[in-house]
Amino acid sequence: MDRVAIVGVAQTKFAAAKVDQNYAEIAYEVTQSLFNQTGANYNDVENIVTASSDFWDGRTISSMAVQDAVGAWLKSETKVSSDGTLAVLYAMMRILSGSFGTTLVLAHCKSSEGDPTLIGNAVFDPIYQRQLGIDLVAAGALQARAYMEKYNITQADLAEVVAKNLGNATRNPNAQRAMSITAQEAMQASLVADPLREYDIAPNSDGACAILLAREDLVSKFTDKPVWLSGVGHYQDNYYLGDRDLTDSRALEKAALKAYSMAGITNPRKELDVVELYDTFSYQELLWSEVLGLAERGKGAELLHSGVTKIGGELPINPSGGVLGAHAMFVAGLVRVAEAALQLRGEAGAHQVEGARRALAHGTVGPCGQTHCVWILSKDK
Amino acid sequence: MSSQPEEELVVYKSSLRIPYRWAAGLTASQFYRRLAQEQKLYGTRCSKTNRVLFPPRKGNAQAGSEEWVEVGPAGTVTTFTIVHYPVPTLAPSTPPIIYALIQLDGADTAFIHQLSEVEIENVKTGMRVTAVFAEKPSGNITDIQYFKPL
Repeated sequence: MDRVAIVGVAQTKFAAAKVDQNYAEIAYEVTQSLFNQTGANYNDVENIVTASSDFWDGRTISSMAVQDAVGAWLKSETKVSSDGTLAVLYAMMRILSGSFGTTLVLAHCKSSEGDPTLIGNAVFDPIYQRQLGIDLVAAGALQARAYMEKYNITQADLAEVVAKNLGNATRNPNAQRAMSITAQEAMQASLVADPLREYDIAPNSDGACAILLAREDLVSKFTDKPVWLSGVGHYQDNYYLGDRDLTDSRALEKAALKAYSMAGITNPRKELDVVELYDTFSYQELLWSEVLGLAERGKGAELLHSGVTKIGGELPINPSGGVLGAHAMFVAGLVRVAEAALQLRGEAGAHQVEGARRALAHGTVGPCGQTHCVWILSKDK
Repeated sequence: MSSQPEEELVVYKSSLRIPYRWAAGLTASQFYRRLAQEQKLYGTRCSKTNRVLFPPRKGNAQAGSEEWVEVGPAGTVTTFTIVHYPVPTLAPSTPPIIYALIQLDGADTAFIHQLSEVEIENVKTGMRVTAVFAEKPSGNITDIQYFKPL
């Protein structure tokens, strides 16, 4: 089978409100950045896969407004209305189908232009749930308590995740919420949805991210530092929260095992060099790291406290600051892939993990992690 | 990038107001009809797994056909949160608002609803609660007004 590589990545700086750019302009910014890096032009991009949300954009078929900006004119552009990690999966399939040699992947969102509480509420079905007013933050808080009570995880444990990730974000020029904050200070922040406090919850961000994928034989045209897609898994869990065990994630576990198996990984804790995972909430970094097999169930906080997951530790998790540092819906998963690629290229700047050769990038969507996608990226083919 | 002062930038403020008519389907329609007529809650038992699902779901050839089973109205809180921000779709929308996952007696799954008639510091996982029904049912989930301590 052909191999597919990431040959370029670009992201905007993430901010609470980018009022000096419209949707198309943030898409144009990352597309041009990608072209400048790779020497590619519009003719080199054979097709485009985008990720964005009609609800967030307030527009029927949200990709229509960015198609010109990414050069989709007289080409095939298609959208996933889900996380950017799934757009990468779709883009890879389009290359492996034999139809295309290159695919540009773009995700965009301007959280500042919609209403997170109302849009989060519209995630829930109108027959049995929506009228209760619940949104994604309240749903996360239900999962947080279930997980914390099952394994005796404390607010202090969550605050340590906040301190690590927001501290890491100070090294990432694209992060929105970057601050040197102690766990003590994080625990003083106001309660938003008990047990979650202000910094336990990812901020709402404006921004875009784009990557260029190429088939093996075309890679050298664009870069001498390709990052190979070497494993992927994608699974769904139940829609209704009450049908699931919120303290675990069968979908993430299956996605990880599938990705590990494709990439030939048997001991992820030892064989991975860096992890970028989708932590919409602080507790999710702990929970997801357990389900990914990096710690035993209930021991994600121990892994954190041991220092393994900080920059300079054996297996840094979210050296970029993760989603707690910036959260543009559907973009954030593509940013995890982009950040993992930057690490393997040795281009992550002040948050570089030295000598990283194999990385995991994770995306999720849906309340409390309904959908999960896990990517293994490698420097070595 | 632009260095124009923000006050000179145009931000068009508007909203989309689109009415919808969501069909609940036969199973949910029957659930709401019996809730209105009998003030009782029913789940569906899956003939293959023997699990009682609440809220009720339609069965199918692969997953097994459904059988109606009365559940609740009492149940157990499996997790909860106290929301400290206004919830715009509720009236009144003022916090604090308590959401819980509640496993009704006789059901194998939990479902989301609100708790009331309880001080927020007294809400605990594992607490026993019971449904308070609306006086005038309207065929949606607010026909259960909220759950209160048993």
